[in-house]
Amino acid sequence: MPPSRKLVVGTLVVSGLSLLPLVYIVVRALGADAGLWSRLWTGQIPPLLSNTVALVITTVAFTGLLGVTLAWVVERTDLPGRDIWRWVLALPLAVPAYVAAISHIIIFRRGGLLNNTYTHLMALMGQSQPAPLPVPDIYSLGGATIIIGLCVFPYVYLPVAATLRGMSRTAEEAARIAGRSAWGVFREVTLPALAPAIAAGALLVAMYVLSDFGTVALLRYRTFTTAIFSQFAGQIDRAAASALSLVLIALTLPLLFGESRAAQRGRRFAGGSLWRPAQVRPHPRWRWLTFAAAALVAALSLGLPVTVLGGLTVQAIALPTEADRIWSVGNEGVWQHGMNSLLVAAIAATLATVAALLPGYLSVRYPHRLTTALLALTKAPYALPGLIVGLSFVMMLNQFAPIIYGTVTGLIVAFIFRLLPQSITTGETALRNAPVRLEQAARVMGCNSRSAFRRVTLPIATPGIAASWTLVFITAMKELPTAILLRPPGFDTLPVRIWAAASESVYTQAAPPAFLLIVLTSAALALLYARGMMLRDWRSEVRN
Amino acid sequence: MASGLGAAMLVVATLVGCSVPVAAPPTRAADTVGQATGSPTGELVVYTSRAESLFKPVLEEFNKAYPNVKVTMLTGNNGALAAKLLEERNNPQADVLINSDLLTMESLAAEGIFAPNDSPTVKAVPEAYRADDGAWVALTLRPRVIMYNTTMLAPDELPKSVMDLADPKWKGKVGSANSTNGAMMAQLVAMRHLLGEAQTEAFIKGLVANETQFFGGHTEVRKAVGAGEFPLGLVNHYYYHLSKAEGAPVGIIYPDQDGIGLIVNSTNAGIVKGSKNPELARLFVDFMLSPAGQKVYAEKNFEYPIVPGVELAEGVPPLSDFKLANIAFKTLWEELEPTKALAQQAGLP
Repeated sequence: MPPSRKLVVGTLVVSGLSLLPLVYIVVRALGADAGLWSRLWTGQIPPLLSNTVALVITTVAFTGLLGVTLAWVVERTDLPGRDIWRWVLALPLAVPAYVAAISHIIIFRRGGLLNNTYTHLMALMGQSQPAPLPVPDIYSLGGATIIIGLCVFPYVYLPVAATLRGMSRTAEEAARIAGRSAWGVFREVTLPALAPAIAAGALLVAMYVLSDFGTVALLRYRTFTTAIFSQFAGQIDRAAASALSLVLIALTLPLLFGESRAAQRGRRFAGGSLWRPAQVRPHPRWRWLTFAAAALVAALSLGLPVTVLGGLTVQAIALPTEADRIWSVGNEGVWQHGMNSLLVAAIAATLATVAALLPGYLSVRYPHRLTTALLALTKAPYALPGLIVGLSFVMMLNQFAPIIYGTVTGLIVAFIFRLLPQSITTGETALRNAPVRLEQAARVMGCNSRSAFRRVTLPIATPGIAASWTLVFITAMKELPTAILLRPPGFDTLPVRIWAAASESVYTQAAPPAFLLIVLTSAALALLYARGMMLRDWRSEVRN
Repeated sequence: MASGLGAAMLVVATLVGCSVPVAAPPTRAADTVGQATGSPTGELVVYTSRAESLFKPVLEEFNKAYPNVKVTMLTGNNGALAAKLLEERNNPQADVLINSDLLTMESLAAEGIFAPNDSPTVKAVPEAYRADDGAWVALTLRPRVIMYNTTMLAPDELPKSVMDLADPKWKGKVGSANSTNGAMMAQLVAMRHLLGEAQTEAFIKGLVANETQFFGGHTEVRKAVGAGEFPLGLVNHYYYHLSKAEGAPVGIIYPDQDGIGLIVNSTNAGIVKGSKNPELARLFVDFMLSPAGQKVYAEKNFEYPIVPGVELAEGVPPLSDFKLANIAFKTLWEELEPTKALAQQAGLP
């Protein structure tokens, strides 16, 4: 049965709208004169290309190692407190990488917390001119890799852990009986089964690195996004920023197509009717060592930002300084910015989640080369820098809807489009979980397609859709560039305040809004976990 | 919601204004307006590329004189705000732009972004530092200087010219603002005008080859020099004074005294054409040029007031002590675009 016309039209509208920013960039970039392209190719692009690609490679390698190791340790060994680690190791997703970067900067920069404490201690011990402490240089490729990696390794950890839990014991047991060592089993049986999950996670990490702006800017590491910002902020003409964006999009597209293929391949590996849970092996000698390693990762990715930012927030509230007053932290200022963030993020996430059901439903129920291609295209702006999306909306709103430009409504509209590619991706997964056979049964029993969707598919997909909403909401809470460009005067969000303070190097005053942001995003993530949606079993997808 | 709140505040402000005598405004400008109309009331949206921490004290001073004017500021980068004003030209959102680069002001004025202003306080400013029709006016002056860390460099090894910073001798030792910064771009426009295309290109390429650390603004540069991340920073003069006042071990070099001289730029104010509140906007600009407004810039931020007779902060030598570059930025705005192309080609971040 062909899809209803309404569904097709609705899908085309949603997909078309989410593609608008992409169209805007292509048009602007192609309108650039040849001289600009040649200046950029000789001046900017070569170093940007090598910097960006290097950071993608190192971060993917680091998160891959971290994510796979931790997932294996949690799911396959008798690590003390396994049930707690399962969700603690997912929590770094709630910490925006630029916020993590700020807390690392506060500690590790010259004249930072670590250095000052050391100097004071040495002074107490009678050494007034101590040898400088060898502090690691965080303004480097290594610093950026570690700080970003510690925030995004759950992208690898979560799917790998879910696959490990969903895998049947059968194959591993057979390999074991056939005489493979523990390492041999892992290398020849487990790892190939994990490959799709690792690939999917690695692609998400790679796309994240390509689109990240705040972290690399703070860590002074030049990538395409920081250069796009420079071109945008330094030039009244948008052509150069668009041209650089086009190169970035070209880098991203293969990753996007790779991601949708990896997601499809993943379904072949799990499942089977003889499914039995994998064996947890006791490793008495390694137990506490692995515990220490997991604790170190958690301490660096969660403990450090929460402690530093929380401490500074308490200080700003208890002992406000002149600077705190100027930056209006420590009083109702932060709460107001928190409310602004919540308002925009909640409304935008809700509308983006609802709108995403149309294209998601079409591609799940009517799989076709065309719908698959359309969906992949719709997701393309996912990795666009938010700056570009914001920019295209400054132009489009002024041209087509000047009344809502410079209002909260306009900001929310731009946020919805910024979120659509993500909500389509996560919404599609949620809908895939509702077996088509049940819907068909409802149709046979006399429901029309709309009531079959409403009475059968929607209730089954609701937990997945709620999970999708939460993830989209968290992205909206963290969103920086769209808010910088489109906020009405006087309507600052938490990320805008963090950014304003951090870009003036007053990191202490960035702490209270950053702390509140982490609290709100981790509360959302904790809610998701409490309802059991985070480590969704992949088996349920296979059975239908 | 915001406008409803504003209306409510306006009502409250009017009620309060009727029943409670407002303290006498401290400035002359305020007196005249205050007597004529009662305390002015309303809202202003000010776009500014100035650091929030530098601009808020001026706003607070303004609100001491005009407690019933609610000023909402939107901070942003110099070029970003200029682009925003251009995009919004048919749908103006801002009343006033306060920025820190004269070239950007004159470019925007040429695009017709600002409304003419024939206020006597504006007309009193020297012609080189205002638009002919008063569409924009300079508020303060600031020369480009080099600041250094005194624990890392001895006085006899200091660079004497800005050009020296491109010398391989200073590899990895310099911090600077990048191409998004209005003051940095204006410096390059001046250098290109005085020294020519080839020398300026060599200078930029030298900075890049020297692994110079580039930042969006100068605050990061001055903090890094103070903390000893690198010994030299190319900044506006007051960044040195701000670091010095914080107790950082820093010194200042007034460069090119045997050569082209000091390059002096200005901070400026312009009233946006289509402003919903042009009267208040004029009041705001007049206040910025009043002794009370000028004093805040001079005292809190060590800048050179454009209005004569306002005292300089302690430790700030008068500009007449130095050889100044023989240029008028106002006439150079058309050189901004070719300079940007040059910077792009030379790979300035």
